[in-house]
Amino acid sequence: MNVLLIEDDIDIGNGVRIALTDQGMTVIWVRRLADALASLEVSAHDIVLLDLGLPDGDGITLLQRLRRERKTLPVLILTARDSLSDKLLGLDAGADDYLVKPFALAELLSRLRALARRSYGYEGDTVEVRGLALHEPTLRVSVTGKPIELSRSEYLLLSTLLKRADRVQTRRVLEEQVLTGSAGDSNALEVHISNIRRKIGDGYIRTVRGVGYVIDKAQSRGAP
Amino acid sequence: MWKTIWRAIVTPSLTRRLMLAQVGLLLVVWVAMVVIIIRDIAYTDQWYAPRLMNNRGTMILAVVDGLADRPIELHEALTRIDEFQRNEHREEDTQGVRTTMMVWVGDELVYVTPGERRRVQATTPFVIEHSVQDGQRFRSWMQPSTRSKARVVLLLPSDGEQVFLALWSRGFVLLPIVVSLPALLLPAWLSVWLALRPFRRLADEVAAKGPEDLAPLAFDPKHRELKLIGNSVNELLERLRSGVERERRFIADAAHELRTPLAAMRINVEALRERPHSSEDAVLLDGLMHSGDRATRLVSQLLSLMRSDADPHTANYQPLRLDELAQERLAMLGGIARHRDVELELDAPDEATVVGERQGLITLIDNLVENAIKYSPARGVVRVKVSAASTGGAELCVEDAGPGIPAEIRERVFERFFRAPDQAQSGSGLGLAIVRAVAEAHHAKVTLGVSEAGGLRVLVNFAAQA
Repeated sequence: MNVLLIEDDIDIGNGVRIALTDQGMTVIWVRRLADALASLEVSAHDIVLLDLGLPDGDGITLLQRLRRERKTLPVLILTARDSLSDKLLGLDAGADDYLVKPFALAELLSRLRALARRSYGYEGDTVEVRGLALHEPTLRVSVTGKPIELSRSEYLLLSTLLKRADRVQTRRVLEEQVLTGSAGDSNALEVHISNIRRKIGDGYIRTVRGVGYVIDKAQSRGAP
Repeated sequence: MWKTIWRAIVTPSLTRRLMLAQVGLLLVVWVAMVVIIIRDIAYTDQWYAPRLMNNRGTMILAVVDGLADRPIELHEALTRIDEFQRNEHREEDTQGVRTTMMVWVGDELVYVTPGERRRVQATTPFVIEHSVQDGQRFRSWMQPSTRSKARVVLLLPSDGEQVFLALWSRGFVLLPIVVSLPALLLPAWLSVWLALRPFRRLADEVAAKGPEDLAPLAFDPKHRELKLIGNSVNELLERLRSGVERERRFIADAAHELRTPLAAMRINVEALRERPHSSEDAVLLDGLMHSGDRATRLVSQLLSLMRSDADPHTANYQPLRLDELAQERLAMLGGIARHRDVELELDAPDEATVVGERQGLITLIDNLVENAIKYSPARGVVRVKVSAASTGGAELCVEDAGPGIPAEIRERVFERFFRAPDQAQSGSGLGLAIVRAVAEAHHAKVTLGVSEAGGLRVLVNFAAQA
């Protein structure tokens, strides 16, 4: 993967460059907007890591220019500005994701991979957690290779939980997403989840009582 | 009770000062009047009274000499004169106050006022003399006849009684003052009280200000003296506010600037950790990561503390669903909980709306739940409950199964950088300070207690807002 890193802080720039290179990525690191523009002219990048406060201008202007010229190049903003309005400003300007400093390397890598996947059109492929696989183009679900039949609502719920594995999905989000028709029934979500559990087996969907549901990538240490 | 009254009396007050000034002035006027009257009496004794007495004596002696050979008629005439004199000044006919008369011819007492026991035969003629007899002080006038041995002696009341009598007889001058002086106290007090009302209003408003409230006074007095005070107070508040704001912004900026080097440190350590290293190096790298994380957390807490301290008037307050916000934040914190092997549980059956600032409330919930997760034992449960209070507000309750906080330090844990002794967990000591700052900005009350599982229970009470 070819990454263009635009970051004026030497320590962060070096660290990110080495960390990403160690992961097998090709990193071009520039520290000024002008250099970034020059590099964008000559090389083909798969992804841009953009710091907002640069010595010769704001990263947002580069982002806006980029969006006018090449629409598909994924941009991940790296910044110390953490207010909601700053985030919205960045995302509105056309950023694909936003990471606030200080960040964990693992999170940076996971978001980079997600962005790359999306831009290469990988997203429609199989999502798999501990043998539970979901193949989006064919809407097929299988547990350790054995196909499972799910209703439409059940499929939508499972795909949301699987694609956002390890992140608790709130009841509100799940209800809004899959139960638009029967919003009045407060038990509908529980019924769907229990049906899914019966079909795919226990140990995949974990309840966070009162909050929502989550599929953990790693098997929990304690109860199923 | 007496102590309170006494304190109220001795404590200086402007009202009392004005009152005393008024009363003092009136007293001076009053005393001046009395002095003038006493001087008037002294003048009377020296110049006016002798002339009057001389005429009186001459008149009486004329009667005595004229009726010398007709004792019955003489006695009759003297009795009439005596009666007239005794009631002359409308004073009571009592000994010591009345004018007493004695008429002597040679050594024989021809007439004496009935009931009079004093006997005065002779004094210096034509002079008002002061004498004492039987312990009684009085003044006397003696006048001999030019034609016979007859003498008339008049006993008059003493000076003190004379002053009293004079005051009495001049009552038409003094009475208004004597009567109105106490009656003046109430209107004087009332007028002073009324006049000082704007002053009290200013004092009340300054007193009602909370420690965080540095907004200018709402009361704008029109009076010259008060305007000065009001303006000075407002200027002081303004200086304080800009000082506090400058300090707050400095800390926020400093914290913000610290994030970049912290980010650099973290990414470098992580890059190093991904490379081949010995197991001893791994321990050192973990230590580096750990302290880096602590510094990062401290910096982000400092930032949120400075943000929650920001002027509440400029923040964006709006009605928010506390139950939905809690669900959202618990979902976000699910990862940390799982990492620590702690179970999260939310009980939010009803809609609970509070008027608040979203970022602040997120900070409050996150800090409480993160704390609860941190101090929970492995496989412990963190219970969060959101409910609508019957009074219209809302209540957020976070319970854990950790060690709890002893009652004696429950107030101190809200202090910035306070860390409970014998703490097993590392922390900044800012979490609860942030919680309280956010709660205060939202007019909410934070109470610490013991949870059902024996750990800590934090109760945040949001009052109903109009």
